[in-house]
Amino acid sequence: MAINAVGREVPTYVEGLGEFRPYAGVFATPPKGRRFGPTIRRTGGKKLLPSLRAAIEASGLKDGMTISFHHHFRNGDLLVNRVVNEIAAMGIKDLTLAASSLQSIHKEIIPHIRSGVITAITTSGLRGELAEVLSREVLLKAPVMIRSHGGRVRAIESGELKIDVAFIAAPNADEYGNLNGINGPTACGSLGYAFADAQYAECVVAVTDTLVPYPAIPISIPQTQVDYVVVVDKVGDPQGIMSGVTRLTRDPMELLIAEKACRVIEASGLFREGFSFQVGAGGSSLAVARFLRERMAATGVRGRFATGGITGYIVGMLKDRLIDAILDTQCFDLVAVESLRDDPRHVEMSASFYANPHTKTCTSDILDIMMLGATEIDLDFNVNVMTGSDGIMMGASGGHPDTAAGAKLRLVTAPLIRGRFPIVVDRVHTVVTPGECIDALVTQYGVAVNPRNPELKARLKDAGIDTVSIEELQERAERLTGKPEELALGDEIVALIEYRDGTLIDTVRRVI
Amino acid sequence: MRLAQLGVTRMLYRNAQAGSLESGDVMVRVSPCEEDEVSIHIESKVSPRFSNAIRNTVRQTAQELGVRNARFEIIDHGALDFVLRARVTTALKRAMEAPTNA
Repeated sequence: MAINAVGREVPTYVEGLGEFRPYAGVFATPPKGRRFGPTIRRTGGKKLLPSLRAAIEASGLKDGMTISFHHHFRNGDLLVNRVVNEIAAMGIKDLTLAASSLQSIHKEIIPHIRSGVITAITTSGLRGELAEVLSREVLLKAPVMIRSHGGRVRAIESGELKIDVAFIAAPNADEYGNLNGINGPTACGSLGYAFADAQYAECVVAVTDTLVPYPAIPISIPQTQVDYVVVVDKVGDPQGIMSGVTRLTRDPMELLIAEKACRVIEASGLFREGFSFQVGAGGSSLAVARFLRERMAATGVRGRFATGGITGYIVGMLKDRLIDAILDTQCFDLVAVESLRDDPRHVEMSASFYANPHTKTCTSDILDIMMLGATEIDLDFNVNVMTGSDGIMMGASGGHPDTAAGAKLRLVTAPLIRGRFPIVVDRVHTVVTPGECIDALVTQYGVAVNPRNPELKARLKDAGIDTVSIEELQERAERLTGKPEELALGDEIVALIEYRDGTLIDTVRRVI
Repeated sequence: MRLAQLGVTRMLYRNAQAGSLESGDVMVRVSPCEEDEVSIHIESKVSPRFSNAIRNTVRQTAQELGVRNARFEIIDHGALDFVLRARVTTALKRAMEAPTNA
């Protein structure tokens, strides 16, 4: 064990996973080595196979191998459960499940974890019953590896995460494996997180419900990377992405937080012609876009681009020419899917392009303004987005540590109290993003600027925005909630939180 | 002057409840029990971090009202302490109302 740069004890060796370096600082651990290359293969012309089972057989999948999936259908994903069920029926065991993220719909794989079909997992997120089971029981041979979106693609490109068979959910494809996510009845939009899987896996199986005549255009993932094509009735449920149009919150508290955040942005000096930003899909984060938009209309300041998971609200800003471009790894609603299909200014972007710390430049390094969420934030501004206040895993690392590392202004918006839990705590249960990367916390009770950024504090003062210390916010929260009692934890580590550069930033211990 | 400080013990006559199952609120159900004791059953998502706090507030509120024999069922949805106190007080006052007609 070693103590890392955020003061957490992390293992330096984990049985089944190998050696790890402790987190040393945001850009303190430089890349090394060469990019991984999969075995050169020629599949030839006969790629279309009659069933998923035929494709799994053709892929050569064996005990102990690694299978991968992407999460663009979010909770509408049908492929993970289907493939794992099929693999279990074929008697293959001891697999590593390398998904870009897992959702509550994936509770169906729990029996296959108990029976030893899946014995290791790497993912960005875990939710619902699957997350709860993996938080309370030691079922896998090694702890779950939690990786950010940038960290996952870094691990794939470096060869740390070797994928034997990648399964790509393709809303439409041709019989040679060209495919995209924007056409067909189950269109999900961007396939950005699947690009690395297609490029680096030993074998790539495209699963589609809409086979189109050659060539499937536009080509997101090309025939040069795909080994087999299988047609099924339905690859995913686009309604599970998020129904139709994402609605803006009407919760007055979330609107209050968003309005405060917008004032901070305007005072920061980064709200200027040609600025760029990313907001999430939920609550106060998306509502910030609404207030930004009002200020853009009032001042005439136009933005250049928006990134990340994209919602209809951001598409509206593109249509109204408040921004010029959208770089999209994942569509959060069907308006975004349509825009990606119809508007050339809305561009699909790979996870590596978006957030890989070990590529020449990633977009998250260019971003001006990043709106972040938090389940907890501590007095050092470390942020937890992975475990709930009960210690159970319930969230995702996602692009949080990636965008926080690169963007010029990193604001966390959160209500001061959620349920009975104070958001500001002495020490977050799980560090996902180091406090070094956070400039300020915006709550309904005030804005706390990280002392590491005195310039922002001075700018807010000049703009007449009052700030409070994060300690004051904590005290204010605890006056209402009381101090939470210590959690009962086991000694066993059930998950490792990998920082985007491959070092370990924290662990998650079993909840008793 | 608190009843408990006067050494008065109040009887519960009936089952009663107060509160709701809304987020941020708590449903308090109380019933009289034979033994001279206060028993508390808690169902709450925040119980891993606040079960002692909830238990103490319920016990203390009962004591302040001079109640020594009561069975509490607390179904909590993240209520803050003052909400819990108010709900327990109301539930107890309802339970203390003498039966109108037997």
